[in-house]
Amino acid sequence: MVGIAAYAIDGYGDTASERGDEAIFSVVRQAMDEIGIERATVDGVVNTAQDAYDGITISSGLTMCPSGGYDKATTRIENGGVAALHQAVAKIGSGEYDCVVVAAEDTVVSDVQAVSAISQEPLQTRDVGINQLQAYAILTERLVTDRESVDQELLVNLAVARYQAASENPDAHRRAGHGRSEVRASGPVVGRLRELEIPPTSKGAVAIILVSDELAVDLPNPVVEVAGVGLGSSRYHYRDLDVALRQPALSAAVADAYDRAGIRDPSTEIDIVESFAPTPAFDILSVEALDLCPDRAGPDFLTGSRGDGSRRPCVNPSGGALATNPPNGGGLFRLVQAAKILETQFEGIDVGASETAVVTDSDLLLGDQGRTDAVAVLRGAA
Amino acid sequence: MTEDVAVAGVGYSDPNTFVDCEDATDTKLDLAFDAVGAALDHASLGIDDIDATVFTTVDGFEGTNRVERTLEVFGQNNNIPLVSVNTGGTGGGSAFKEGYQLVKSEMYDTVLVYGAPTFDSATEAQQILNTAAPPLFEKPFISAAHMGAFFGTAYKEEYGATDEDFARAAAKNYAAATDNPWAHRRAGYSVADVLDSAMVVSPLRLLGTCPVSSGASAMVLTTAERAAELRENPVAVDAVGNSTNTFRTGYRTYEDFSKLDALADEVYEKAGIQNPRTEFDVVELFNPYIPFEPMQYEAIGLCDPGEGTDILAAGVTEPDGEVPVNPSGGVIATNSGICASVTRHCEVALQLMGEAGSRQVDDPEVGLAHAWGGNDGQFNTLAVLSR
Repeated sequence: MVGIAAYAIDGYGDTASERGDEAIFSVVRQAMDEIGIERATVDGVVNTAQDAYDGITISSGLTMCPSGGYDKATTRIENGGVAALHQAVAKIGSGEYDCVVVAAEDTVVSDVQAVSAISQEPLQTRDVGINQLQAYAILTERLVTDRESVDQELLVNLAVARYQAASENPDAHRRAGHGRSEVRASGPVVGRLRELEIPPTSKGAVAIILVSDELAVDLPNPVVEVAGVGLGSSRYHYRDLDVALRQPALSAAVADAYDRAGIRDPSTEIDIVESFAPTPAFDILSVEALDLCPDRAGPDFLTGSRGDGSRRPCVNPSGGALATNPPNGGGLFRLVQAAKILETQFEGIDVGASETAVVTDSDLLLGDQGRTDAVAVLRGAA
Repeated sequence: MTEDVAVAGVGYSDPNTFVDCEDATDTKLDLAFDAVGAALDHASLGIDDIDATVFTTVDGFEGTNRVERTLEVFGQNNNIPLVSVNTGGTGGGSAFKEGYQLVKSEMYDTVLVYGAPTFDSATEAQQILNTAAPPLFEKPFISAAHMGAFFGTAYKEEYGATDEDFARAAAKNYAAATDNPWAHRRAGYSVADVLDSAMVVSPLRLLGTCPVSSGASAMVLTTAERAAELRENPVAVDAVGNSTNTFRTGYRTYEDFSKLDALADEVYEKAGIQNPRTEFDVVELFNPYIPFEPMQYEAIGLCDPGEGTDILAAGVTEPDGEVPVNPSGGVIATNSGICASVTRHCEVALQLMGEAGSRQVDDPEVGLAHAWGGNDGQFNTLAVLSR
């Protein structure tokens, strides 16, 4: 068994309170203090970051030692926080590690649209000028066309539900509790998407300490079990948008994570969902890919659960990526939110007692094409 | 429960692609397709047999951020994981280690590791490398070549090494590279050639500094059990490890590779290596700046401190010597970006399989692969492999 023994967050907001190496040191130190361990206990560090967001080549060089990695085994994964967790689980599963720090910081001001643009295939696709927002708009339009029950009103309502949840979560970035009129009145971005239907770029830092069961028994508090992890990647080129609507990378990652966690009926076994849904359309696509509802029934499933913490499964009680979206650390942020809920430490909307959570992540912030998705199933000590 | 891990296949892009990056004509997709295809063929597998891929590059070298997303040869059609690792020049060692752990942990049976040809899209790789240094105090002063110069200068001062010693190390590698169809510099440069080449940054001369090459490499890792089914000569992965130094370098001295030395102790303990000089039959070191080579001999335990140039002069590390080091010609002959650190592992595996062709050393049983990277060599990786 592999478990999350401690975690810490610094932020999230429009601006960073510290430089990147200082911010990541603060959260790692805080997490270590929480369970009373020193750096000597740490066997390895996994950072997740991308140079293009950080403005420096091999940017993890700056953060490895502040993450506890001096004289240790370290690595940097670029696919995001849950993918970094996936690799950390492999390290403990290899029998060679008992304690791994997984951490990320987002402190440098970067142009995420420009980063997305330079991440496109250069000969044919990049010249079109596509970036992640245009990809989101295209998929949203296709979803509205494909599902009769999806209209602008539903998408606005989903955004509002996220903002309502985030307004009660002290960890969230956008906490203003934007209402329908604000979302509708926000400036147009591309296609149907308006400013309040796309995610912010959040600054801050986050750390998780992952331990083996051998180490967990010596710790003061029960750990949150990482019951299963999965990864999946999709092709860059697709000529049928319906393929994208099926979320093939996420679906593959879900299948592996559920299989490893022994999840047979996700709609009844999962209490909490923290998914990477950068726009309301991805909320719908995610719950379908997570098998939380019958095929193509995502709109109906979500219509009944808006803002209701007691509904099971409860989707994005943290406010989700629409409210808090650090490009490097988003997956770790969502893992922490889920862990807090399972440990009844969550300070957001009332979600009641929860035993099982599923967390998703993706490098979808670079664009939909060629994305890698990651999924983790967490179980509380109860 | 954990799985024993083995190398089942190794592959490179066509030998003709291992040229100066400015002369490269194949696309990134062509190179990836060729290297992945060669590794899969070597393992008698198809892409549908791969459960996960670990990709490594330095994004700034590519001209396309996260370029692996655009290259559809890593199993994306089956939606398998495509893990992206970036630890600088150590990327190949790091990716090898991540792949090893995915198999050892029993999460995946068969993993493809790919090292990108990188540099070919960067107009000026040096400028990209320069941004790896701490931005306020070090970046204005340091380029990648300075790293090699600092080590060479300190080693000369501490142990009396000479420019001729470094040129001898380079010439040894260049001679070996003449036997390697996948080497970039195959002219067999002599000691005199190296000493006559242009000064880059003292004591580094042009032929003591790695080229910027094209070319890609890949390997297939799987369970020892499956590898034994796939081929008669699989190579076991006995131990892997990596270490991390500080990002800032102002306090460092450069007379040795102390972090590599400590890492070697750790990895040798895992692998049960007592006497590296007698137990290793082949070694591939990552030394893009030639003063590193004798210094790394000392760090990995082939000799005592200060004796690196002595065992070099005595021929101990020649391809037919007691411990052949870099029979491929090493990074000084071929530096195809982050591919070069995957290649160190590929070369050791090929040697242990007895399939290294004209660069094959005599009947090796145990080998060591090394990678070095990050700001001023912040990271080192080591892997012990055996027949």
